Amino acid sequence: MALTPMRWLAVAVMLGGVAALVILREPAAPTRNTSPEYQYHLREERAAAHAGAAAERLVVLKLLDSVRRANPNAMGAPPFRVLVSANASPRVRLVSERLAALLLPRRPVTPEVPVDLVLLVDTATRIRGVPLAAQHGLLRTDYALPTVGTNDRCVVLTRTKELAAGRRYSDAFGDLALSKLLGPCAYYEAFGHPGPRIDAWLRRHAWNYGLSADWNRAPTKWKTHPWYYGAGARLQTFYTDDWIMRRAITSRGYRCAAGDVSSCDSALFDRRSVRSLQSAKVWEGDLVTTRVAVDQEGDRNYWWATTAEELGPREWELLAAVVHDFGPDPFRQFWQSREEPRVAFRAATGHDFAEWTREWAQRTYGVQHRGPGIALAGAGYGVGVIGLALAMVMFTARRRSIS
Amino acid sequence: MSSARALALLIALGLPQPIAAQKIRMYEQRLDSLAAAQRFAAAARQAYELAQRRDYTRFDSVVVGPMRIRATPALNSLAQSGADSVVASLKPQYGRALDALVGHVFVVRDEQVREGDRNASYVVIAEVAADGRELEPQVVVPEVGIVRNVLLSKTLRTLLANTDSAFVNWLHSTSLPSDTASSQAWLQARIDLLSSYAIVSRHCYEGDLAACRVALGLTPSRDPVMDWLSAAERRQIVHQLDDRYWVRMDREAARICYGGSDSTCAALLHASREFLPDPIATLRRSELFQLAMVSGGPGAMERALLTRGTPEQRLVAAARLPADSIVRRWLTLVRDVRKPSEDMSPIVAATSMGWILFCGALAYRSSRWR
Repeated sequence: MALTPMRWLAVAVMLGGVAALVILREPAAPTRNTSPEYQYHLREERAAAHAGAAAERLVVLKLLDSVRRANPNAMGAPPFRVLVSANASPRVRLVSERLAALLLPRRPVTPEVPVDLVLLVDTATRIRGVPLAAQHGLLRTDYALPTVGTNDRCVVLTRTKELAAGRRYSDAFGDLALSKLLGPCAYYEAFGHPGPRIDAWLRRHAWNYGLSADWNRAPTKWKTHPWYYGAGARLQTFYTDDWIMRRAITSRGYRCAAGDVSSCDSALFDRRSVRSLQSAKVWEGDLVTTRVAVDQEGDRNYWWATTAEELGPREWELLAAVVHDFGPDPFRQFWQSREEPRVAFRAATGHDFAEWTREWAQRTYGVQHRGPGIALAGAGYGVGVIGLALAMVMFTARRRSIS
Repeated sequence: MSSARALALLIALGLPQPIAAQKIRMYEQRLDSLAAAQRFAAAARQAYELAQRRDYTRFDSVVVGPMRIRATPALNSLAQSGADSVVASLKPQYGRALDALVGHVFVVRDEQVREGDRNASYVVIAEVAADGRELEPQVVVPEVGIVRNVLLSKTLRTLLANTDSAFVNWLHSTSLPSDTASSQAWLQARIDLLSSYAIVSRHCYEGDLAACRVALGLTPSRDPVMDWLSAAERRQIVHQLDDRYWVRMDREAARICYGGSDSTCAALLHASREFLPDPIATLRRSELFQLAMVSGGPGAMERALLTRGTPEQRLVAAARLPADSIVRRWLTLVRDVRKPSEDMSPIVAATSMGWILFCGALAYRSSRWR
């Protein structure tokens, strides 16, 4: 049977219909295991997770209590102290000395709030019979913020571990760890107590945007890491950056990076409770805890995260970028303002916060494409393949006559 | 002074201890209550699992030789086919050893699993414990071949569990072999021997039967640290263990070990014996029995399971050969078995080319555009 043009067209129309059916079909409801066995296991796991989280918090409180008892904020105490626990080995003491040497030159000349960096080796494996989760990474930090109206110190409670001989602590001294180690305490140290509405915003969710204190360095563009595809960089060519970006950022953050200012605004001020990788959480009013060690968080972490970050994998340095872009004095004005954050930002910098965030997102992640369109690279691949096919057809059919 | 005023005074003095203590007590209570909730959830799960002891009186009984199965009426024929196939395939090798199944009951029942907005039917296969609980239930699709394979695997597991613990520990497997080894297994054994971290395995490959017996665990080693490893390997293993964060090692002693003190390396490894892996994979031990099936002919596994004694005595009974002869045959196969290359063969290339030409010819059948 000759494959006439009409037959080709009929086949194409049929296949198009099948494609339309597949695309427009209602997606099936996701399969959920509703068996009672699974539900009982799930309840047990959830109970264990709650107990584990409470155990972790109790450990932090106990450690903080003992640190405060042993190191009261005596009059005349230096504005920045590096304290190390008594059970630390000579190696960990060297780590504390190195950290002090690296951090001291970066401290402000006239700090608004004194800071204690406490380095301790936590060897406990259980508390009140509840097992504690193992620490991943070298430096696990919790921050005890100072209370308004007191001369409290901001405490960076850093837990580290004894490493085996031959393994090095170099990750603890890397740019990533140093930029995040002091976290929120660096903002208190440099800019003092935030205004009440700024404070409320930070405590609600915005400490996620203020975990980096490295505002002297210009923020760099976020890069994807092709080696996460396992088979090497060659596979990267099949994943254009915008698709990788969609994995690392919420749809609202993506819309922001694509130019939708209202999405930037809602991401800033109406952040949903996403359980992101870093998840800076404020509890007991003045304690800030993040989920992973400061030396572990990097550009590549989007790959491991089960949920995307609201403003992408670099959201933790957003406030540092504000300081870098506008300078310390406008930021201090914003920080200490008694107005709500939108108004305070405009008054201090002359810019709209959401508009600036859109510009920051595009600077950090590149201008993203909205809707179902394809990126330039994707279009290029498509056109290339079509061109190749046409060239092959032209080559094979060049001697064929048209009657 | 009232306690409230005392507290206020303490706050005014900037002494945080009472507040911290109060907070800590609160968190301790919270943790205790959450831990209790966790224990409650665990107990509830266990109680549920116990409550799942089913009433099998309404199930059909399927009896095939020594194998006893309780099956829901709808799955009766599926269970019967599976059991027939399992008993028929094991009988020649396992013979009377299958009688150990008489004391065990398996269940084959249906289960509805919610998938999206519809229910799908699956089959649950498990052994029923004396208290009525289903042990290690497996949920599979209702196909004869799959049900048969799961029944076979559970049968072999049950037969192994009925032997003595010394044999189970030595075999270090959850199941017994049902067939002879493939050529791939011998290739893997060769890689195992040559790439082992322990010198005893390489001595085995070179033809030292005593070393093979040690590597295979037939000759129990009183001191694996000294029997399996050379001094250089001991130092290397200490270094590897030292790098693992879950191993608590005396760092000072490790440094002395790296400095060249073999006795210190050995002492460290003796203290971390549980982290010392076997010289070669324990899977190789099952291959000895697969070889014994070939040498010993029908009833090899029957003799292996019905013989009371050490693993070596069971092996000898199965193969009807001295242990050294079996090990020598094993080593010969490990060294000599070759597998055809899986590189592109001319036939594969020609077939591919044929398909390309066929598709090209079809394209030329296309009419000209008019």
